[in-house]
Amino acid sequence: MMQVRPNLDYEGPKSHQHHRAFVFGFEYGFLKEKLDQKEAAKRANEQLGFVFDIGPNPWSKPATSSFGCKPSLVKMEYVSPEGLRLDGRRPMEMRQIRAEIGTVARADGSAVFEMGNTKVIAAVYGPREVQNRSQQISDQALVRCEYSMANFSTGDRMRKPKGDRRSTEISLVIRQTMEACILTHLMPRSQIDIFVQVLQADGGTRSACINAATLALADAGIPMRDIVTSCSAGYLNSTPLLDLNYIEDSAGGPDVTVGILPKLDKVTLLQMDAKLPLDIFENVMGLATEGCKAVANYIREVLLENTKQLEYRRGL
Amino acid sequence: MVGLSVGEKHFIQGGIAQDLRSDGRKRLTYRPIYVETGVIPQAHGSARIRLGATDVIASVKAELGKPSALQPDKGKIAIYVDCSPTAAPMFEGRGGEELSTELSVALQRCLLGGKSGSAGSGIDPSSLVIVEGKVCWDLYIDGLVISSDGNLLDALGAAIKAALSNTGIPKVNVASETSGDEQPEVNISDEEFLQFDTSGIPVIVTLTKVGRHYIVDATSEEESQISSAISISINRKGHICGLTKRGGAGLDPSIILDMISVAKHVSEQLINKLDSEIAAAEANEEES
Repeated sequence: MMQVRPNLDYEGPKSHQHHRAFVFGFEYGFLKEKLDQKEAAKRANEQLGFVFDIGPNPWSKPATSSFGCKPSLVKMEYVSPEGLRLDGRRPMEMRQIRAEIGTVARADGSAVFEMGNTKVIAAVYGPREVQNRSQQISDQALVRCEYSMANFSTGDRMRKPKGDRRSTEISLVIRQTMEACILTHLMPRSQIDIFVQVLQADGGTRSACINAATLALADAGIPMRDIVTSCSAGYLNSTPLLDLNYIEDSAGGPDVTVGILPKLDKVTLLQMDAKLPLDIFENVMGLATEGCKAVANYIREVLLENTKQLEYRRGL
Repeated sequence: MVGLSVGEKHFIQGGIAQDLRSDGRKRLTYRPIYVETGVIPQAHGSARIRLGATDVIASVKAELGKPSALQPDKGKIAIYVDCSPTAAPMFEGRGGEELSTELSVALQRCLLGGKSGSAGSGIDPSSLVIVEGKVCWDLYIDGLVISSDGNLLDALGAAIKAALSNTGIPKVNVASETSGDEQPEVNISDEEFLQFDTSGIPVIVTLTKVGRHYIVDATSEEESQISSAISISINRKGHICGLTKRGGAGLDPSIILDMISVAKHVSEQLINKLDSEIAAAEANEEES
């Protein structure tokens, strides 16, 4: 299990003072054994410096194929020679995940899902009568979704226009992903609303939203084929990285978001930007799928715990 | 908004008349308040307040800006409220905009005072100035309604008060004296933080008149029975800092004065309760 503990001594790189919260360093158990905390913090700081790199990076493995990014003059070091990432994780390590069910009292189902510093709330209303009669579907339920970001969710405060293209797209992605797992044919002429609200954005909001929506739907007792879980993976410094944070996400490398139905072993969501050779893509996607499975295990635990609580309260 | 049958309406009204509301409270009792501070790490200060099923988050962010030409000795403070669709499906899309604006304006009136920004203001805008006429802090206060079960204004007011007492604004050193129109160079310290004095920030008490009686902290079921409501912001000294009368039928002036004196009485308990909750939350945050 990934037990991480924030290293509070560490203040973040100079260029990201605004995003102090985004780049909390994490110090791991194995490091603790070897180094005392101060030394580790010092090392973390060194790792965060820009590496002026002309020519190939001496530390990274030679590129496995002819594919490669154009070598830029100033290159950010995302994976240190020791194999640690900016926030101290291993390349195949996820951020700490945490979930809580039933956080919005008045919704039919709700959940909070955190992946590191990314935090989203999902609320589900329904199944209920279709509000807009013209949208009613006679043989299945209507699923709707809205994604919104809080003004304070990003490092620099944003005054967002509601319903910009990015949030419309993510709303659509979440809706399609959830529609694939909800047994809509059991609830004809009804409507299910999924609302996701991002409280903190630190990369991987898409995945976090889907995970939160799954939990909220389960909490609302909506029949589903399977739970959907999602996780992202990327490829930086010739290393596949699991669960990108904001800095890694904005590095411009490929970002693969995968959503799976873990029990049926089916992929319901797959998105990637930037280019990757096929063999590496397979690796990265495999890594993201593994991440999804880890999330699925955790979500199942949370749901089971929640069910036990409900049972207990009923006095069974 | 809330669909109630005739029987339910009578039940709520009858309960209020007998000083025993449907959740067991008396007319002038608040629901238990839960305060959590520091919930948004990337803000300079933040707090989450839960009042029964009402759940709001307030965050304070400070950015360096330039004071306006008309008031060179004052920083700028803005309050924005957003109603998340998670609170109610009707806030979807632009549905929450009307309520958001109403709440923002009411909070601005109750907490910041008028355009002159002096009287009634809980935060002294002149404390935000770094170099007169050139550099000041712009304070952005964002409220987010996550779950709504009535009495949003009081909850948001309390959340903002808690968020401000949680706020640390980085200390700024002006590098050198510059003359004329030049923009002075400033150094933002990342170790030293300035705290606000929040003892002067008022709390907002909304009195809802149902039938012949007034109640505080109405749930959304009770709010649907509203005949009229007055929101009064009162500080620790018992001064009225702002007042809004919303909705419903007209009120007799003597009733308004009576409501104000009741609100003043209630606010004393609320301030004490809130202050102790905030202190407990801060202590809790430091521990963890």
